Amino acid sequence: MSVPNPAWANPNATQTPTHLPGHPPPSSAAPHHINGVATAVSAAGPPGSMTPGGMHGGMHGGMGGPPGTGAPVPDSYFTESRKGEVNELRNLLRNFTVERDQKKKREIIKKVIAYMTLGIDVSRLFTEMMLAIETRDLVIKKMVYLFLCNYAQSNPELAQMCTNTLQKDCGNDDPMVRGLALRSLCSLRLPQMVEYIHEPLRRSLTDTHAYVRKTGVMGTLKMYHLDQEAFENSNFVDILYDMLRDPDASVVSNCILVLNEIMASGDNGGMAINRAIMLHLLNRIHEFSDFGVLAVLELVPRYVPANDEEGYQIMNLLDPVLRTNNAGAFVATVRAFLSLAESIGGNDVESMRRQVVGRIRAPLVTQVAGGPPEQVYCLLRHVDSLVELCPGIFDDEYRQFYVRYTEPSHIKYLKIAILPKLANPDNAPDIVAELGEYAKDADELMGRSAIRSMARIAVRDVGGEGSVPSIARRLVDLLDLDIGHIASEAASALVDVMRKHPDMMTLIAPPLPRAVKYVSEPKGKAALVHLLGECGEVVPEAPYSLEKLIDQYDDIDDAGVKIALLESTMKLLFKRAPEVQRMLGRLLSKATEDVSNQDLHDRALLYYRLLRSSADPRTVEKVVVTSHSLPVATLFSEDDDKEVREELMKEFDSLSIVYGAKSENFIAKEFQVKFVRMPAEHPLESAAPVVDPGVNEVAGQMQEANLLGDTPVPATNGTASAPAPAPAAPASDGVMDLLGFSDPVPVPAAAAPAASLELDPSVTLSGEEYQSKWGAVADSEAITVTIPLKALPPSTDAVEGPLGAAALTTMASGDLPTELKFFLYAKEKAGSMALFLAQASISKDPTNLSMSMTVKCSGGDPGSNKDKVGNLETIVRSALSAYV
Amino acid sequence: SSLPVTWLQCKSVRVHFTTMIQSIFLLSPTGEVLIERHFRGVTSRSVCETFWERASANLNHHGGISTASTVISTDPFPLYDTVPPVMEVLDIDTNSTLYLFSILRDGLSYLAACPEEVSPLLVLEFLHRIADIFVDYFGSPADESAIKDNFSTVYQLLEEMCDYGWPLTTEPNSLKDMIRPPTVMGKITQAVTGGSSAVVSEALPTGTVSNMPWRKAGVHHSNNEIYIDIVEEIDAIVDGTGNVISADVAGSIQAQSNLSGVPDLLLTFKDPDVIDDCSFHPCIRYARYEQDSVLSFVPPDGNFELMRYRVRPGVAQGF
Repeated sequence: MSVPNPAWANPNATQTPTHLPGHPPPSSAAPHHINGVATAVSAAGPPGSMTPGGMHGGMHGGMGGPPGTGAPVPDSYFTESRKGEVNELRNLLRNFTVERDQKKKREIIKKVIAYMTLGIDVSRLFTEMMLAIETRDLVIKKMVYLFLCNYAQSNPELAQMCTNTLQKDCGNDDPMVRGLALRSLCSLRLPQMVEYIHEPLRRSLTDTHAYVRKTGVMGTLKMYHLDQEAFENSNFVDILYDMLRDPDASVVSNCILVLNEIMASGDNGGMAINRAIMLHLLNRIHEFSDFGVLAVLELVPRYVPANDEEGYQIMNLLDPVLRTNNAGAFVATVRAFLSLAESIGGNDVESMRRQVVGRIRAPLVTQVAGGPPEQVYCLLRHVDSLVELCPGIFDDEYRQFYVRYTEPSHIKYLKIAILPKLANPDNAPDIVAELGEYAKDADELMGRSAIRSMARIAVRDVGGEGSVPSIARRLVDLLDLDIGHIASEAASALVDVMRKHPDMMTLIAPPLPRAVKYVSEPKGKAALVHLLGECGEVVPEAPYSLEKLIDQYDDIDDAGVKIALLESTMKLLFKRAPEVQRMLGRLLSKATEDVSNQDLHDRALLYYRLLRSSADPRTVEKVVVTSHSLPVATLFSEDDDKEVREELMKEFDSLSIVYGAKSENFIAKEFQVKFVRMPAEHPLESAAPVVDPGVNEVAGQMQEANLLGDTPVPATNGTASAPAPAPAAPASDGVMDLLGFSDPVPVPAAAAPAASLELDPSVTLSGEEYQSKWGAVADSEAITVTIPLKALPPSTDAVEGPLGAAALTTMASGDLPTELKFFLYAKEKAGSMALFLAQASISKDPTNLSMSMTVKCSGGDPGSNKDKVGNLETIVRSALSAYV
Repeated sequence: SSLPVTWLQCKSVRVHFTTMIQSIFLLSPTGEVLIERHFRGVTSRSVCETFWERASANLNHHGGISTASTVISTDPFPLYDTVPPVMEVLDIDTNSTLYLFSILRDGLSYLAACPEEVSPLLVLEFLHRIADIFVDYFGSPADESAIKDNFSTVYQLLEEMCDYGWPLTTEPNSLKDMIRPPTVMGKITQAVTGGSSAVVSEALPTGTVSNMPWRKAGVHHSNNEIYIDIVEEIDAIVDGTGNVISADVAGSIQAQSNLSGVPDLLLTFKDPDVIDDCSFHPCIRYARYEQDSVLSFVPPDGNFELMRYRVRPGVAQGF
């Protein structure tokens, strides 16, 4: 038996020439191939069991399944010799000696996979490959799994035969084998297999090894798509929610992905999220891989922060992600930031948004500067929409948007389109000069876009004083350049400039009669004719230029040019009546008889009847000569797309931005997912201290405690409604005033303590106790005191230290952007042994330096509590005497 | 309650992505399918033909460069210039629309077909990551012959990098724990016997339980050394009279680490102020950089890009 050729040598030699572009290879070699298979099977195969395999192989060839006949496979693959080789492989696989020699077997199986890759149908080796699955060799195993996944759908019955082996492998000692077998088992895409998948899958979710767990999590999704009913009965959703606390971050990110997909069609448009889940995930964000982090980032825009502080806190947690070198994660972070800006921006979303965009500007430009072109293109599309959203922020970076010689054209066009949006009085001269260079580029489209962009600066009038005349002058120069497309585009651009700035007439007018002679492109010619009509009073030869065209009326093909000619001549009639009257008559008689274009014909008739019927030419003038110039402040309607833009921003980081269209317009309905922000309202759980988890050890524990005490209510299936997660916090009555501002009446000075209060320094409380005790006291019983400060403490430590010395213990604290926040407690040493729980915040606002403290008393005599709080205030005042 | 009420009413339809890549294809410089991997049902190869029709119609031998690292004059492969990185194609087998993302690296076209709304940058980043891994495994350039020689490794890598269309393991070090890169000895054996060389590690994957997913455990090198290359690209526009219209410098720090154990390194800059903005490898401690402008990190093993940065514009003008 000869050793077959190396896998890639032969096909390559025969293949390359047949794949030259423009020569689509013939693809239907299957029919007479079937015969080959059939004979091969009956000749070589043992009786009985082998025949179905051959049958399936043959059927498969005819059906054109994966990856066989649908592929661009040239005839030459199916020459006698190649068919022989597949048969030879079959013989080799069955050979008893090969069975023992793992190395040799590995080579043969690799060859099978190589053929599969080439698009050769090797499905008739299915039986033999299945026999090879029983091996300790991992390479062989992997390759057989691959083969199996590729051909299982076309050989369902045979595939079922290997279930046993796969199930057994799912219990293998080696986690790698367990994972691989499980993944393959779930990837067979055979609905009848679901019953065999279920048990291994359930076991895998509690496997000791993370590799198996994350494979199992993904497996549940595959099962969901195979059989939704079985999936719903299996209660996997609950398990997946529990697994969000898995120690391995990659398992967690898979859980999020799976839950999101399964619940996409549900009421929430994805996984149900509550505060506990969200904060848990965000606090672990540094553990995720740079793709895993995307799963978490995708959740953030759907989450409504409990309050502004929490919004800021989330931003702080996400800030390091902006430094990632993964462009995908970066843009997802930007999206999360933008959505948070909307949530916490309050009445001034605009300025909050500008802050956010200002923050992400530098990293975004870095991503654009260093990325591969495909990413640069997509990033630029996002920059484009951000520039529209927050004008001015990117202006200083305009040089980054100059085109580079080495860039692909589509990036160049995009940059040219962005440049005018960055123009301001400072940089406009630079930008216009640069665009002027592009205008003469050999690439026609690039030249056109550059001219359009120049005009845009003039039309929007953003270039400051003198920029409009300078642009108009440049456009006029380009008009005189006598290069077909440039002159034509410049003419169209000048029409727009004229509409917005009629005072440019004297500048634009002189070259018009010249240009109208050599511009041949219809669009440009029509534009020039239109301009001649507008500038009739300052161009002496205007009527004569038009007259020439009227004489050649029959040679004009384009209706647009004819209409422009008609209109301009009409307008000129009221400016230069004696010269125009006769030629207009000729033109009208031609145009009313011209039936090539309805619009033209009707206009000509209208003008003709107007002139005939009306005795007073001034009435006609009123109808014909209307001012086209627009007020400077108005935008052209194509530029005024604020509404669309706002809609698009909601779909940031998606194809919609790349296409510049809402996804409703191009994504099929069944794939559209409702976007629901959650939770609908923050239950009392939000009364739990909001702290910056990065600041304080205890804070982290408190978050954790909070999380463990609160199990989300998962939706049971994809369609059933998933209610907003119910609170499990011990007290759910009443809504907590987080900031402690609900009681604006400060404790009157008259309530100053009569009796002194002594505190017990040895008291300790856990986060959980604190929380439950806090919750147990109704908000109505809370007492708020405000202490004006004359200086802002430099840090939280500067407050905690003195308070600690006065036996007021700090549970947690945080340095937030707008304030310092503290969670304090203290216990009365004698008497009623009342426990004081306090939430204090020191405002950083320099105009209103004060410390606001909300105190709840647990235990003790309710009657005397108010006095005691007064005493407590005294203690605090004296402890912080440096600032009070 | 401090909750902004307006937000609760603001429900809008946003097609946020729930699924990812359906199939990945690798095309040779002549448009032939080298590798195909389907994660969610089979995508017809017709999409590759559609793609190639457009790509080859726009073959551009002069302008347009397709990878940041390729230089025009030395690139022997045709480049396509006007094919957008995302295009709509029709899968004629199922009559459904797919979004085809494409990148061009070392002459090979990497295609990802997605059926739904998706974050375009995520897909492109992932495709680049795949190409990076191939370079890491097979050496540069990871071109047609490299893929053909190592196709079974390629399949194994794709298997581990992507599960059901979602990126799974993309860290070179974790991957090398699972799939051993081709060795020199293997390559020689291959040359002599004509067999292919990919060998799978018999060792168990250690998983990513460690808090440093980028570094594998128990690395040992007899020579402990780390090489650091600073690669800076200057883009400048100079007019006819020699005036610099614009100049900017984009740089990256490439490192090759051969250090045993868990080394903790500190890289200080002589003049950190020159750096305008930068993006980091996940191994860099971000807070430390914010505080002291130094890079403190535990490096991955092997080749990696430590950071990317831009030089402050004023400094760049000095050239």
